[in-house]
Amino acid sequence: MKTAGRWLIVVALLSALYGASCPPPLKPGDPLRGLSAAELQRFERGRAAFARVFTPETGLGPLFNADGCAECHEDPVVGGTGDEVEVHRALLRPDGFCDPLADRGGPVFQQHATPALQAALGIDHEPEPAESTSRAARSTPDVFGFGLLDAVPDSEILGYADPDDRDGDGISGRPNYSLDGRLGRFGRKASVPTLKEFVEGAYVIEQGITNPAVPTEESIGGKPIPAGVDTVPEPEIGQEELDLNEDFMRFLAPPQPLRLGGQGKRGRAIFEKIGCASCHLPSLTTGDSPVRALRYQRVYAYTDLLLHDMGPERADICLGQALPSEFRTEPLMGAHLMKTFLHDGEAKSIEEAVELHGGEAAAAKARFDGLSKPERAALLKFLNSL
Amino acid sequence: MRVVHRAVLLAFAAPIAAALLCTCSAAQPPAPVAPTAPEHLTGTVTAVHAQPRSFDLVTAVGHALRSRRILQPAGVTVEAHGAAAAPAALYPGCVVRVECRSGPTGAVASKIELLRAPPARP
Repeated sequence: MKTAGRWLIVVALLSALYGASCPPPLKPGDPLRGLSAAELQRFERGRAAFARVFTPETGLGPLFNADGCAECHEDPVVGGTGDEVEVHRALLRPDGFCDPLADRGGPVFQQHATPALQAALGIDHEPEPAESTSRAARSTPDVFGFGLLDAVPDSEILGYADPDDRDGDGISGRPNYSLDGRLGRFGRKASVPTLKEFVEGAYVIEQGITNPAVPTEESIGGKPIPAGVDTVPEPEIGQEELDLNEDFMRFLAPPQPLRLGGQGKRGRAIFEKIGCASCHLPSLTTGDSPVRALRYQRVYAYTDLLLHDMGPERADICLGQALPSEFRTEPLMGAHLMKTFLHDGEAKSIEEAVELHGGEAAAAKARFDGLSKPERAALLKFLNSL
Repeated sequence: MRVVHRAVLLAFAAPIAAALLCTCSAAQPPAPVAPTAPEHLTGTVTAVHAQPRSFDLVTAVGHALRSRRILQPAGVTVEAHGAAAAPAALYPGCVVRVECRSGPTGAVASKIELLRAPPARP
């Protein structure tokens, strides 16, 4: 009896020790583990910049999609997903050149106008050019773990590219490049090379907020802004606010996956077996970084950040070298927090999203369709845990 | 009496001052036009125009794109890998680095470097 009591005490002490040494699980919206005090402070100040709401008096518009970053990236916390869907357009010319319609306001066509612009031109959104060949809907992704994706070296991404499918597995993986020729990784067509540029550009195209990196407003479908409509001097925010916003996104931790039981673990094996992991690569590794928490880290993003053909059914716009049917592999990290799936938010469940895969993913989809009921349930359990 | 003195003085002084001012401004050389600092842009060519020889260049910061028309004066050739390339080397889809200055008719190129021709479509 005495011995049993002693053992109980030992077990209790060991449990307490284990609990104390194990940090609590990360919640959505938490910062990365291992940030310095100064980085944590910038993260918190950056969250405030990200959540700032603009008005026409503080620079909003004249065209905009939202009055602040957190108006869209809000679910379940600031930095998460949202139900807003925006409009992109491009023109694929007969010679194969993809024109992003920059001189007509493209590729992003804003869905709202300030009262002053409405009064001046009688429009409540940006006019879309008739000559564009395609229109794309783009859902709001979360931005969790973007700092880690930014820190993955180009060489690692290019290492997974197989544009001519030399290994014959039916999966090609093409890199996309920015307009100035650098490897892209952000955006649904992987056309933006860095998180910094993603943030700088987003301020202008989403909110009409000029900043030191983009000191000029978007045009109104290619035409200048009427006099007196935008009276706030450029840039409408300074470098510090821009940097803080970027640091918030850079230091946001990826969502912690849900704990896997036996069924989920079987699902993970099926995920690899049927070929999902050929594009939704389970992990990438970051390179050197001035931020310790980003340096040489493994990020379980379930993407290769490359373009893949999704088939003609999903095709919309071209962008850079991405063909209309090519999309960057959507990261699956945070899938358990998402309410819609795919680049256009068309799928309302992961199962529906899998069913909408085509092109290079057709073979994996066929294998998914051929799974037994328990196997399918196991795979979905795994996917819904990410 | 004092007022009369001041009026007389003013009457003599004003033309002298005006003459001096005129002489000074006439003697001054015209203010030199400060040369604008060259701008360096890297982007994708979206259109090439023959008259006047120019091209449209799109630059990007994220998804915020800006289109600029760049004039290509006679004598400014396109360089590729350090050598002059044929005028036809520039076409939509080419990635170029341009050194240019703002002129009264827009941006004028002083150097055009071809970085990448568009890859063949798969």
